[in-house]
Amino acid sequence: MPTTPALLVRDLSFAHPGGPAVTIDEWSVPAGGEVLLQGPSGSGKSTILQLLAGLLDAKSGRVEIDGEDLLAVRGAERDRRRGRRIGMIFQTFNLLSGFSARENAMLAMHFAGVPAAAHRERAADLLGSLGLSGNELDRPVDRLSVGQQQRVAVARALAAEPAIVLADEPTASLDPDNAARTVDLVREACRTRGAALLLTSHDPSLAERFENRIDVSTFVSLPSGAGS
Amino acid sequence: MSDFSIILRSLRIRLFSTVVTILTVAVAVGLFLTLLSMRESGRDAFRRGSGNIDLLVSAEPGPLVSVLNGLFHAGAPANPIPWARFEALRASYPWAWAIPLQQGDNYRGYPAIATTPAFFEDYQPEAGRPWAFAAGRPFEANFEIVAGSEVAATTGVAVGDRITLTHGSGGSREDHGHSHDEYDYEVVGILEPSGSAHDRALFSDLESSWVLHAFDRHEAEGRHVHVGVDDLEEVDRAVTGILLKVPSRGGMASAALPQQFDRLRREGFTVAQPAQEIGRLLGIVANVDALLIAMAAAVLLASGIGIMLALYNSMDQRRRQVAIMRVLGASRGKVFSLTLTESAMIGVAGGVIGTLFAAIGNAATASTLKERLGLVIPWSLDPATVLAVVVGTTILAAAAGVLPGLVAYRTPVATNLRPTA
Repeated sequence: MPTTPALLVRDLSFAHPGGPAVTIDEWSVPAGGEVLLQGPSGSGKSTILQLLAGLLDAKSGRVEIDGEDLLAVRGAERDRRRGRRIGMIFQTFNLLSGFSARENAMLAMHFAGVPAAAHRERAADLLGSLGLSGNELDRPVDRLSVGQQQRVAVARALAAEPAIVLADEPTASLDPDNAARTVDLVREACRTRGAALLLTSHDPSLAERFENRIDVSTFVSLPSGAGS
Repeated sequence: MSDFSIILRSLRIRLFSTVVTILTVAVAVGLFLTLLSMRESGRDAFRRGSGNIDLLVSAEPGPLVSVLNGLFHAGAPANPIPWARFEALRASYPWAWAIPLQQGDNYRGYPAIATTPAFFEDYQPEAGRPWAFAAGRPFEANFEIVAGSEVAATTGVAVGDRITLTHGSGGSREDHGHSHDEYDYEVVGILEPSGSAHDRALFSDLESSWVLHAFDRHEAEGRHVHVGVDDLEEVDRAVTGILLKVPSRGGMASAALPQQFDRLRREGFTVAQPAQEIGRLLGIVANVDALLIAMAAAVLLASGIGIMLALYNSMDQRRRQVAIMRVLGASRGKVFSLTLTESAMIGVAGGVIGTLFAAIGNAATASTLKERLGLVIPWSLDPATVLAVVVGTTILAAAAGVLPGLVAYRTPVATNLRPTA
């Protein structure tokens, strides 16, 4: 019996004046699968991730996350589905400043509708599995090292047990060794939690670490003069 | 994690701004409640001061002046009523009581009121609450005097002391007018605070006061002689005010009151019904009251604008926070309600702390005024009014959060997630 893909995109079309035009006839990421979306900076990778997360409105098409079409609903219901089904990791982590490591993870659970009674323990377990413990859990993220912040970002993305994690250039500002370690960290965390991973990168050296990879140009056509 | 803990954390992140904003609201609420309380206390004090009399008769130019001078000792009445005329008035109707007052001297700026022992027996400065003595007793003989609570507290006079009076109303704390050094009084009683203007006065018998002025009259005529009660002439015997009480039936004033009021007016007296005159006075100062309350309300409104500015200015830093929450699953409505609730919580905190400010400030002021001046200024706001002010402040604060909330609501997610330089 075939399993439901973590991500299934059909007939997706998006364009805005002066920006990249996205066209995806059909594309899927299997449950627990890993895909690298490659392309140079400014080639539209982030636009695709924002479309898949329902943060941008597509002209047409379907984006099914774990069988639920995200684009079929709007407003609060789409936000709720995104919180429950999708985890996101950003190049600069985008942690909530002033909140602790634990609170950053708990926030994801809160907005995804996870019962509050489970938040503290689950956040501690998750952060512990990524190497944070003790006082580090309740320290404001601004006072953690960059490596610790990265782990908090990964923990937050997985806190609501999403079907898929969308990682937007998580290695962009890292040297090759650290980039490799970060990718391994994210992949391992996703595997452990059973989440699929769609990771974007402009770094060609990461290509060999992913069995499934796709070039962003497959989906995106840039306006003339763009793509630097 | 809950919405409440998210808001608390958000407030703590901007601790300085939060505390300053809450204090601004608290000061405004405290000021507003204090003014409301003082207005009520002031009205109560005026109502207390008129006591249990029905009519105040004098020869003053108008009834309001008569009440202010005769009951609140704002100044000395300038137009005497001959004693014979008082006696005729007393005999003209079966009054429950008629008490003469004579003003014109002071002790260190505090007015000395000459009257009869009935002043302490029949007249009550607050209806239903008779006089109470902190020490000593009422005057019984000539040149005995009783000091009000504020007089005793500020001048230090005690039972057994001997004091001399100064001619003049005592409208100023500076001695003006000559001193009646030839005659001294023995302090025989100190009154408990009554919460009325009488706490700032002294009380003695009529004859002693007449003797002082008879002595002055003789001196002015070049006759340097000792004057005693037996030397008083008809011209010396005068009063400046008469407190009247009509007989009541079952606690209700007699229907004769308006008739007597009109009759006395026709006879050329100035007749005042204190309750009506105080009502007139409060009506006159109501505009000032309204102005003060309006100013306090404006301060409250300004604090609401302060909340809005504090939140609105912080929105520049919070756009990324809002965008992150949206990515995590928060809807536009959720980030709007979080901002609005945060604003309302500032209002609640400001309202509660402001109420405490007002209560503590009022208690401290009331205690000081009672100890030093003998004035009773109680907290005169009922819990419903306080609750209404706190709820109103919360609603105002929530309204102040609408604009920042809309900024949060309309924050574009994608553009605010981009890496900053």
